Amino acid sequence: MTPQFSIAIVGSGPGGLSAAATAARYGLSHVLLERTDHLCDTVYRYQKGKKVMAHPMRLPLLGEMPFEQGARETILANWQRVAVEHAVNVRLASEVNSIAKTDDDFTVTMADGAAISAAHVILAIGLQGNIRRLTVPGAEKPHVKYQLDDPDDYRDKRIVVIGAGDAGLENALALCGNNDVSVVNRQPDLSRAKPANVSDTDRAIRSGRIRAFHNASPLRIDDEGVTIDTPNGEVRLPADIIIARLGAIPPRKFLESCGIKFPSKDPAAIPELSESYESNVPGLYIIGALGGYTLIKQAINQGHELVRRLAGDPTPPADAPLLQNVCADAFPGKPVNLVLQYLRDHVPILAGLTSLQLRETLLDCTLARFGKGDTVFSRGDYTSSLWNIAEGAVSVELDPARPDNVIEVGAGEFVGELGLLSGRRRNATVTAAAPSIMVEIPLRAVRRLQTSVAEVQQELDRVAVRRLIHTTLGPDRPIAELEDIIAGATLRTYRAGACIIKEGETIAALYILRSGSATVARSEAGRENVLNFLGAGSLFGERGFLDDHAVRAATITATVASDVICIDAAPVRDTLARTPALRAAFSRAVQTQLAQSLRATVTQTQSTGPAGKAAAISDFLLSKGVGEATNVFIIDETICTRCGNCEQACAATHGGISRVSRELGASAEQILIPLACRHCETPHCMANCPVDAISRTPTGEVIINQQTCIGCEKCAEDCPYDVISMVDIGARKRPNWLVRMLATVGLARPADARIDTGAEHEKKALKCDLCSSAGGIPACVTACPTGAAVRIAPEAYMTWLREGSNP
Amino acid sequence: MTRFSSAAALPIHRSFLVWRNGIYAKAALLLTASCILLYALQHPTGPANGGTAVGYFLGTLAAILVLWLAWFGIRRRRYGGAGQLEGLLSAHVYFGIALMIVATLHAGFRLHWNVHSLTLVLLSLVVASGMFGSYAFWRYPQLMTQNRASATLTSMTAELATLDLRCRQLALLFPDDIMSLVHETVAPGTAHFGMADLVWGRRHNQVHRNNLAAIARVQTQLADRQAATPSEVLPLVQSLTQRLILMERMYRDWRYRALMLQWRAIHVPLTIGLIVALAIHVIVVFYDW
Repeated sequence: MTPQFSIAIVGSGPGGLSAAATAARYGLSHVLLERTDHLCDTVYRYQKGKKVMAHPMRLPLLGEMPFEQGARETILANWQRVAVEHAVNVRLASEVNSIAKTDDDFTVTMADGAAISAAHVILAIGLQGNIRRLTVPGAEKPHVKYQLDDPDDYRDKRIVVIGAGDAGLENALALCGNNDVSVVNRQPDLSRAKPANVSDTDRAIRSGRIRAFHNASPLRIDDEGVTIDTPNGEVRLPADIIIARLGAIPPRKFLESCGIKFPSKDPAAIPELSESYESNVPGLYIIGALGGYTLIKQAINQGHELVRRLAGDPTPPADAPLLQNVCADAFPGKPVNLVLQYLRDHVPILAGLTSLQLRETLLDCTLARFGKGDTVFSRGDYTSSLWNIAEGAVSVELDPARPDNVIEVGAGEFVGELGLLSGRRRNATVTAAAPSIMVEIPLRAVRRLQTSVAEVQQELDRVAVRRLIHTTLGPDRPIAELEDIIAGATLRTYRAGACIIKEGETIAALYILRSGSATVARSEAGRENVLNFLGAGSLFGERGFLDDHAVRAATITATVASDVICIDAAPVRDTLARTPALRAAFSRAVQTQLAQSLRATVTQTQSTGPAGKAAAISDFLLSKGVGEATNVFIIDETICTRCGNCEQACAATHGGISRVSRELGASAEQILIPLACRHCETPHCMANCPVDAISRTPTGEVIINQQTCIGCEKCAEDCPYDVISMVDIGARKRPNWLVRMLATVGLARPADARIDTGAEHEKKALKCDLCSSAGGIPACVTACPTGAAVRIAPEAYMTWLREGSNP
Repeated sequence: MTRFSSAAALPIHRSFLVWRNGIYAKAALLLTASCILLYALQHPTGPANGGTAVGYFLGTLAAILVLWLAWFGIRRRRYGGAGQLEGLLSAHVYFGIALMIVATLHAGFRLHWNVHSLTLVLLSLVVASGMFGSYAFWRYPQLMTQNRASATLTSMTAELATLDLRCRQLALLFPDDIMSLVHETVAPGTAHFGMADLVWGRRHNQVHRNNLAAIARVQTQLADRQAATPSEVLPLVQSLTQRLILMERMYRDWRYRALMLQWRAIHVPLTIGLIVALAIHVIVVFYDW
């Protein structure tokens, strides 16, 4: 007689344990089956002392299990207590071999031959139980490992890490201090991992702490090392330890043997589930990472929610009240499920999302109704979102001088993608042309969708290419006339420093910079002389296009990672020959561009004199990454009296802590770029903030919310310009006037002004907010007594260098 | 539009001396010219002095100017807000110079041994120190920047420490007398300067001479001894010379910086003295009335 349960839960991770604890609470007969001899194996195998994060922070936690960010050990101890206090029926060392559906219940058979039967089965096995393993000869050797428990266990070892995802890089970084570490990467670069891990690893590679082999894969493993295949042939790496971090995939064979169907052949595909986490086998449920919900909190909530429903006491999903709030303005009283369906039907880029992705995305969105004539956004605003038209239509006014010349965009389309992805200001004003319902998706959510849903990326690219070509080449003409040109256009990505056009080439093509920036340079007397600076939206390469045999007169180089639309010259010529009106519009666009670059060339071809100095300054600024800035702090050292008033003003207006440092800045050509935030077009700091504490305001400042910042330092690590400091923000007092006055002449040294409040000091990320917290006018600039300091957009500064500095 | 674009409308790197095309210079000039005219056109019964109608007028104007100019010291430390400090400094400089003339006219070009003349003398000293300050603000940033050539104080200090260490290590290869000479020369603290150096540069010159002497002695002494070959001597002489050049640079950096900022240590206390003297001057005048 097999034991009979109402619910059998497979896997004792956060999801499974939460489900079991809830079942125990409701008095349901249950069993929790765990493969290993301890609970929560995935978290158990985390690196010793690892800080576990509890995001998404805004998602409330449901159920019996406590969970706050903290050390692995604390969290495991808390969960262990839950299992004991709720008297959860745990069966350890019970690897499940099969789950068979009989008439109205399941028979679950374990590896030791024992079997149980249950009315419902919840699969909460995650992915880590099924990590990818090496398949090369020798993969079974004992020195091949698939995880790293404690990096301190290894010292003076030769270690080869195979796989350059986050897990692999984190292991390599943790080990490289005390060991000789090589990383074998299948990809041409490290782009697959999180930016913070990539930048740390890049640094370790440059300083020689880690050896990296890109485009490489293991061939065979022997007792003393591993042989890998690289673009330069086979390389043998001697190794004491080989750590393979190849990711984890759903245990497809096992799931299919249970009768579960997969939507595609992709080994990483996850099974399709209903809203209530039920698979295609009635009574068989999947929660947690196996169902695509990779975060701990989501798994805990799902386990609770599912068992409540099975116990006949359903509770709405944890995100339901949050989603209800999002929908309340535009759809008062409408149930969330219906709104979700409405969005699928009316917003094409959301149509391909799974239910989970849609809910997650919607949490970040704003749904808004606009009356006819209402402004959606204005030219010059800073962009932080994509606007989708679910219903109605909008008019896009590109040129303020010609308010009648507008482009109408209808339901199902979106606006604002150009500024969004280039990080530039809005180039048009958009107003509702009819009563409309709009869905605003913020940058962060768009980025997430771009990486996880291929169609979203393709659609954004497709529309961006069409619109940029239209607005650049013939904004007055109907887009239909441009279809052939659009068809001949391709989108290319260039890395920072990559050459887009080389001086002397004869390639007939036209380029539009979609995002990033570029320099136009000509070599003279062996020196690259920068002639011009191009921002997103610039048209270039037009001279080579006007004359088929003209050689390129200048080299164009991407200053930061840039997307460029490359348009073949042939279809452009054909189209222009056919449509005279378009030809006129096009030649106007080209002439403007030509005139601008000629003017720049005339003033800057000499490499001596004031123009040469201007070129040297712009070289220096660009070499310091000013090309991706929107607002940069620059000091003219021939005027600066080093009085420090800028720093004191910053400190005085920001709680006693200055966010500017002249001493740590970079200087050349008598220009100083103090260490201070540049408010980048696409801020690096925003990319990995786990709590979304960093945002861009409509006026362009990139700011860190001090209330939500948890001091994790990710932004500080990600900032390539080191402008974010982690500071203990205890209250500070200003030294008295006598000390301040004596300090300005060097006769006193103000002591550490922190007031000891007795409270535990908390570190927060601090950086320049352009004084948006203190009146909105940068105090560092207004406090400069001599006129040396400016805070300015780099384009404006470059223009001044070219034209204004030597009138 | 947004404050981003308005930043472009600001003058970029334009010295406070030419703030808004020297509007305050013109205003101060106009004020001075009017006062001179007023002074020239008056017909006092006795010699021109502070007691005439024009004298009282000029005196009141000068007193207001003194207080307003002194208020700059307070305003300078009030941070935030929209006002650009640069404009105020421009006005401070030009009206400060105008004040000198207004005050002299008020006194009727006369000096005696009393509190009234003391006020004028103090005022002259304040203005003179301020004029030096304006010169320093205009001249030394350029000199300092040229001298620094992209180095920072931190980088120069680090470089000096490296050179010191290298000199000491190289000296270990040499006989005791040379080793102790080198150690003495590169002793810590030689790069610290005080106020006396600002005026006379004595201590710096001493250090400089010591350094030069050390180099010379290393060279001559080693030339006498057959044991040392030029290839052994050269690195030490080279390092000592590099150190000498760096020390020179650091000294200049320090000196420029001090000259640029330390004049305020005279300007500010004298201003406080001036205000006290001015108060007494006004009280005495009205008491005598």
